[in-house]
Formats: sequence, C-alpha cells, structure tokens
Amino acid sequence: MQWSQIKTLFILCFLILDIYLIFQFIEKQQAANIGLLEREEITLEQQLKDDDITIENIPEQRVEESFIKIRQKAFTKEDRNRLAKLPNQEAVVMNENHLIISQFKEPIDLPDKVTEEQLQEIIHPYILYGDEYRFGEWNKEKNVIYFFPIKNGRPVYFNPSGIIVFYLNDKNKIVLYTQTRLDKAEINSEKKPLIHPVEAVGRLYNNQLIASGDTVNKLTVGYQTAVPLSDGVQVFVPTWKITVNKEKSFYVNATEGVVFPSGDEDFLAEQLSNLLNRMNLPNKNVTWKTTVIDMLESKMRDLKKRSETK
Amino acid sequence: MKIEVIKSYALFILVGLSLILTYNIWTYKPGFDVHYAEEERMYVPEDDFFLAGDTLSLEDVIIPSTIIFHDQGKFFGFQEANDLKNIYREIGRWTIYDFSTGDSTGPPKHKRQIEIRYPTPLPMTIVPRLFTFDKGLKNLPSWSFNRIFMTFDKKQTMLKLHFMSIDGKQQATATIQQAEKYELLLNYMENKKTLEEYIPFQAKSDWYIYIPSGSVKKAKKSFSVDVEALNRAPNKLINALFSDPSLVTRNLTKENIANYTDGRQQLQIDSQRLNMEFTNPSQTQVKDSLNSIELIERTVIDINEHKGWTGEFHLESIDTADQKITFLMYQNGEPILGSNRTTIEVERRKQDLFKYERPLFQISDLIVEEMTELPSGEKIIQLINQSQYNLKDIQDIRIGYHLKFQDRSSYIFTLEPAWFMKYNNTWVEIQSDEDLIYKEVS
Repeated sequence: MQWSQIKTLFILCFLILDIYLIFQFIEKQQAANIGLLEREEITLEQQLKDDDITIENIPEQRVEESFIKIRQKAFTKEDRNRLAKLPNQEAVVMNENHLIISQFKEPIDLPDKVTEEQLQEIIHPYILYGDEYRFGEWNKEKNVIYFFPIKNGRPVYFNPSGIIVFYLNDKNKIVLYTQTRLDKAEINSEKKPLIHPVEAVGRLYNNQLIASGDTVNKLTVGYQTAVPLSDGVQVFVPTWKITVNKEKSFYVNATEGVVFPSGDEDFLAEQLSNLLNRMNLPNKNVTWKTTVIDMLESKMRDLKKRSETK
Repeated sequence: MKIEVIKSYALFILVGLSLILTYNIWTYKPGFDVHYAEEERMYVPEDDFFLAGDTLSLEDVIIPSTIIFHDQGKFFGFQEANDLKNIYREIGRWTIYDFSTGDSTGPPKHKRQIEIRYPTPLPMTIVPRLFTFDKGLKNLPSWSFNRIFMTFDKKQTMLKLHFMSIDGKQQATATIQQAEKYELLLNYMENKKTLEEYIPFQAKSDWYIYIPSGSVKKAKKSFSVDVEALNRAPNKLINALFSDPSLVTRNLTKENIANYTDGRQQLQIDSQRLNMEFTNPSQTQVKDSLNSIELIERTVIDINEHKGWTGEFHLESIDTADQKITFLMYQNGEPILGSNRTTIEVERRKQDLFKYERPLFQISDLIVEEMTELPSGEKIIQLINQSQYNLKDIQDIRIGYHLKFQDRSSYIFTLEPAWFMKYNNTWVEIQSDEDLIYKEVS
C-alpha cells in the first residue's frame, strides 16, 4: 500500500471517530444540563403533586426583574383643588399632605358579583390618579378593598406610603377610603433572574403555610418591601404573589425565596389605628359620620380579638 | 501531489480534533447555570468587610465571672480580674482524668475548696471544649451547670473537679492528678498573694454571692474612641451583612439614625449612641431552634466572619427559648455594666442572623487614670438589706464600669467603677447615696 492510500484510510477512520466523539460530547452536555436545571424542580413539583397541592397556570418563562426604589409623593395644591371637586365626598389631606382621608356622602353601592375591571370603572371617578392604581385584594371577611399602585409595570403590595384602602360597610357599600401615593420608580439594579414559581410555592410548603389539598390559582410578580419607611427612599424587592384557594395570598421574595410576613390583617390593624387616631383629631374641614367611626372601630376590635385568640 | 498535501492537512486536523474532543469529554463539568441570585454576588475584597477586631474561638468568650477560694469558712477572690482569666486559661490546659457522672446531694463542703462561677448556665456538652481531657468523653449528660468546685485530695495529692447541675441534684466529677498543679492551687490558698478577702451575701437559702470585703480602690479611666475605625465601620458592615451590598440604599431619619436597606434586610446605625442594629427578616414561621452550643458556635463564627470582636467580650447569657445570645464588653477583665450599648446581642433563626445589635466604637488609647474609692462590700450588703429589692431576685453582685461619654465631638469617654447587681436579669447600679435612691440602668 502506498502512503497516500494509508492517509485516506486514516482520514476516514478519524472522521468516523470524531463524529462519534462529537455525539458523545453533546449527549453528555445535555444530560448534565437537564440534571442541573430540572432535577430539583421536578422533584419539588412531584413532591407537591404527591401531597395533593395543585398549581394552576404556572408561568412558563423565567422571569427577570430589577429592584426599584421609590420615595413617597406629597399631594400638591393642585391635587387638593381637584380632590375638592371630586363628586360625592368630603376629603381631607393630612400628614403633611401625604394622606387623603375621604368619606362618601352617599355610600357607593357595589354589585354582588363584580369583576376587577368593573370595580376599577366604578371607583375611577371618585379618586385622584386612578390610572396609577390597580385592584389588589378584597378581604370579604373584613370588608376592605385594597388598590395597589403600579410601578415599573408591576403592583407594589401593601405599602403604607402607596395604597388606596376602601372601607365597606356590611351592606357592601364603600363609605370611606384612604389614599397615599408613591413617586416615580427609580431602577435600583439590573434585571435579576427570579426564583422559579414552583420554587416559590415550595417555600410556602416548607414553611407549612399551605397544606395538602390546597390549590395555587395564580402566580404574579410585584414589589414588596420588608422595611417600610415613613419617609425617605424605600427599596422594593421583586416578589411572587401566590394566591391560594382563590382567597388567601402569600408573598414570597422572588430573589432569595424568603416568605414575607404576609397577612393583610396586620397591615390593616396598623392602618386602622393610624386612621382612627387621625379622625379623632378635631378638624374644621370635615365632620366624620359617627356611623363611619363606629364601623371602623368595630373592625379594629374584630382584628384585635383575632390577634389575641391567635 | 496537491491533493496529497490537502489530505495531510485534513488528517492532521482530524487527529487534533479527536484529541480535543476526548480531552473535553473526560474533563467536562456542567457549568453552573445562573439559578439563584446568590451566585451573582459581587466579590468583595476581605479588607472591605473586616472590622478592626479579632477572630475568637468559643473558649475565648466563655470566661467565669468569679473564682472563689473557700478557706476554713473564709472566702478569697482575685484582686486583679486579669489574674482570674490567666489562672482559668491555665486550668483549661491541664489534663483531666476519670470523668464520671452521678447523683449529688449538693455542692462539696470541704474546708478548703475552689469555686468557679460562670455568668450563665452552660450545657455539660460544652465541657470538652473548655477543658482538656485525657480521652474523648462519651454520653455527656444533658443538664447544665454554672458552677465548678475544685477540692484537694491530700492523700493522693490530686485535685478533684465537681461540675454541679443547676438544681444541685446531679454532678459530674473528674480529677487532675499532677502534683505540681495541686501545689500551685494550694499555694494560692496558703499565701493568698494576689487574693483579697470576700464576704458572702445570702440572696436565697442556697445561693450565696461573694463580694470583696472592705473598701475597694479602683481606677477611673478615660479613653479615646478609635474614630477612624468608627467611620469605616458602616461600609464594612454593609459588605459583611447584606446579601447584595450593591442594592443597599441609605436613608437618614429625623432622629439622625442612618437606615440602610435592600428592601428585606435593614441596618440602622445610630451615630449618637455609636451602635448598630441589623435585622434580617427570614422564614418567620419556622420555629426550628439551635441548642445552646450550636447557638454560641454559629454566632462566634458569624462574628468572626467580619472580625467583629472589637474588644474584650465575654458570654453573658444564652436564651434558647428566644434563640438569643448576649456578650458583654469588658475592659481589662472587668465588665462594663452601666450601659446597654456595650453588649453584642444576637438573635438567630437557625443558620441566619435574625437580629444583631452591637457597639461600633472601639476603645483606643488610655488618656488619664485616677484612683477612686468605692464603698465596702459590707456597706453594699447593708444598703441592699435596707432597700426595697426582693433578695431572691438578686442573681449576682459585681464591681463593673459605668460608661460615660464626656465629650462627644472629641470621642472621649470615661469608665467609672461602681457596684452593680443583676436583678431579674438586668444589671442595676447600686447607688451609695445616703437616701438610697436606686437608679435603673436602662
């Protein structure tokens, strides 16, 4: 055999060998990647399934989001003029122009069945900057509706410096609301990958906040802070809002998986005691209806009783 | 001819490729996908999160509050707090034999014996960390002790150790057999060279507190604060404590407290009081707890991580129910009791710090020192007996320092010696005024 023929033979041999090796390599790479990415999610998902916890509507894509920081915004003179012209209400601006408390002259009736969009429309004419807020939660037991401000395209959950709280009487009529407002959001970090929603549900499960038989209906990303400040710049963390059994919501920090001490009821208790203190101050611009104060006080008592039995 | 050259090149490339591929298959390790935000953590040079302190180990912070020599019904203690520390350190290095546990009818009542007292109950399982044993100890009991007695065995010229359980119903015994150690301690007993007389104060039927007899001379000292270390501390702590320092935003409250937060964790630095408080809300629902050894160990490690032992600190209390641990600042072996800003307080939720409070100032140079005289131990007992205090709630009486800032702008403070008592877990100054006004230490 000649050298040239041997070379051809070698070329053929090595070609086959290389193709084989390339396949091997790709296979190995895939196996490792799947192992890394899927292993814990699959087992967690399986674990949740085994314990009869259903997760509906899992967002498919990995979500990335940045931290934001926001100051509170005071209501300007112009705001106050506009507020005075809003229909059917007596309003005062308190706390160095940071807080609106407004009482409806004629309580606003809400239909029994109402969608979020309808609610938005009903309320819109009665509030300032209605476009900045979205429906958040409705605590049917305590008759309170929360509207969260939308910042960086996502809601900011339960922040005393930026929220509208509607107080309803037991006939499903809104009698009073309070409003605070956040300034424009400032981006505090580049976008960071958030923990997988199943992982977030896993955190609740591990903390025994959800139990066998529960259904997770909705997973959305918003913002929350564990350190609410009354003045100054607040930092907000991307947070998974996890709605369970269509009634209860939990908030899980979406970068480190820490479960925020949730419970709108603690928040409500704080808001109510603040509100009642302010309403008890003499004010020449508005006379609070005794029925309204009675209603708020009864809500407050109700909340206190509950926290004591806990 | 040309084809042959091309073939040679092709062969060369193919051989090379096969080698590269083989190498890659052998060494392939999956690269970590960015899965958690933690992996994105910035690298921070070590110097940027080390405070100007030391790293310590567990036995460096667990120091007895007193060592009392019982001698034929009389009591003696060290004049200098540093002597106590030195002898205790030495005892810790002696080899201890014949460890055994059993029931007890109470502390030993030898004519001559030494009593070592700790400020807080310690679990028996910590004993191997504090002392040197001839062999590994097995089946350590679960009870806690806060007193060790050492008795002299004349016949065999050896020392016997008795670890007493808190309720006095159980004890562990061991021996130190070297004659020279026996002689050393006996020498203290007989010569009483560095010792002074103490008198007992009976707080409860079975609980005596020993305090120095006669009037006490102690130095009142003025120090300067290491201002440079103080100014650098906030930045270092941010790097040391936050998961991602780049997210931290600073706010100044109306009370002049700097508030650093990333939306979850919070660090408050009070430049008036020169202390800080870090809170790290985590899985509040989880009530898993650490036992007392883990609690001390994890905390010492955490503080070591940023070289946070910026002075002399001794373990003051462990609270396993609240998962809380307190270290008290000392100066030259004597506690600084008259101030709540001289303690490091840590509350944990498992592996994580939940709350961390500590002083930020560091004692630097001694400026002046002048001798003062404190009322005698006898006088103090008299004062307490005449007071409204419930004797059975008095846990300890000590001489300590009161920390006072003289001049805030120049960062000079004074340590003033005074009598204190631990009343319901709080150190209270015993005022020696004739009108017996007692001041609560807030």
